[in-house]
Amino acid sequence: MATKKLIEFIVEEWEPVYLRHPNDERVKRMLERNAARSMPGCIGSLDCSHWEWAACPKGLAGQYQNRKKWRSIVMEMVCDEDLYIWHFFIGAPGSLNDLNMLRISPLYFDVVEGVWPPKSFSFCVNGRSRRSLFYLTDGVYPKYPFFVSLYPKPITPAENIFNRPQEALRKDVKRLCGALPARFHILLHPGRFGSVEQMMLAGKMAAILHNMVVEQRRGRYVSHARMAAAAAERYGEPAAAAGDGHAGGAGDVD
Amino acid sequence: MDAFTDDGSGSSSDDGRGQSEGSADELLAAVIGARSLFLMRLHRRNAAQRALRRRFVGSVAGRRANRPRDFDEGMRGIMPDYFGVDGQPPVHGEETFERRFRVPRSVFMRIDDAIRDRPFRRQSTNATRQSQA
Repeated sequence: MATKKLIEFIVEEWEPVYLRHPNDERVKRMLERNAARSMPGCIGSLDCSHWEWAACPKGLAGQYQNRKKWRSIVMEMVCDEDLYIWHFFIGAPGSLNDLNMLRISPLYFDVVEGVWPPKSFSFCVNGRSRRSLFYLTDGVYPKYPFFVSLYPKPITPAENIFNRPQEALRKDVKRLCGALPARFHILLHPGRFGSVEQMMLAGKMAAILHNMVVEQRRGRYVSHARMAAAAAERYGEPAAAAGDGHAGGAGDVD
Repeated sequence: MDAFTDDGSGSSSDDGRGQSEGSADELLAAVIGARSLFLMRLHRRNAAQRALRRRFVGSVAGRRANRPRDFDEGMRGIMPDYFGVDGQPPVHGEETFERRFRVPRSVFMRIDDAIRDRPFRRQSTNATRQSQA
């Protein structure tokens, strides 16, 4: 009982602080970092993952059964290079795929309402100034202006050049999908909570604690120093290369 | 007349049925009674077992008694090992702390400070008047 109360308390206390959109300063820093990693205008990468639900009631079995035939709930996550979670949406039945998930996600509503992403930032791609920030996604996501996915069949050198950093940067969220259950094993093993609400609370708690840890550690990650050195060494050149590929096909990011 | 005949016929028919099927009725009643008694006992036994099987039942009479092991030993072990008591540094370092508690010490202490006054943090006392682990 005390554990449940503790979970509730953590979520109530820190959800408004640790699971929210980045403020302007953070967005600016993220843009700088991603520009140095040859993907200007990127504010994180997006993906979904499943958490098995052991105590799923039989009546909900059909709804919660995912494509791998086990019962689960879906988590939609956006994270940056440090694996800081900027968007965490949990609680949808496992039968939903990434697209259905996006349609009911608060992130999508924010984008549709025009609240997010912020329009006050501009970045330069291929000699042209653009203002629409985007998330990196994989191929299933629709071709919206705020999503940038791969070229499915890259042929030209420009496409290949673009695909490479896109894949490399999208590893961030894939890493998160591995690192979050690895740190908090509650997400690794099938959840034994009786209700979806409890599962959601526990998932959010794990995300909040993870963000706390990342916030503590952020400055000391090796990649920061390494990337800063690399960026200083060859600044400008990879950004231009990525810009070529980007403007070539992904099109109207304006 | 009508009423009387009705009553008479009714009573006579009742009597007749009672006399003709009396033994069968009694037998039936006895069977039903025994069966219901049996079911009631079964139900009671099931209920008792269910009560014993209930998960968050705590310390209840009739369950297996605790062995006289040293309950406080765990707490006495954890505090100096990971947090340090009486100004002593903890036995295990930060890395081990994070491995065992899944978050760094600073995050742990921060949450601990936040929940310090909450009712669910208080150590409760169980039915045997010992502090609950």
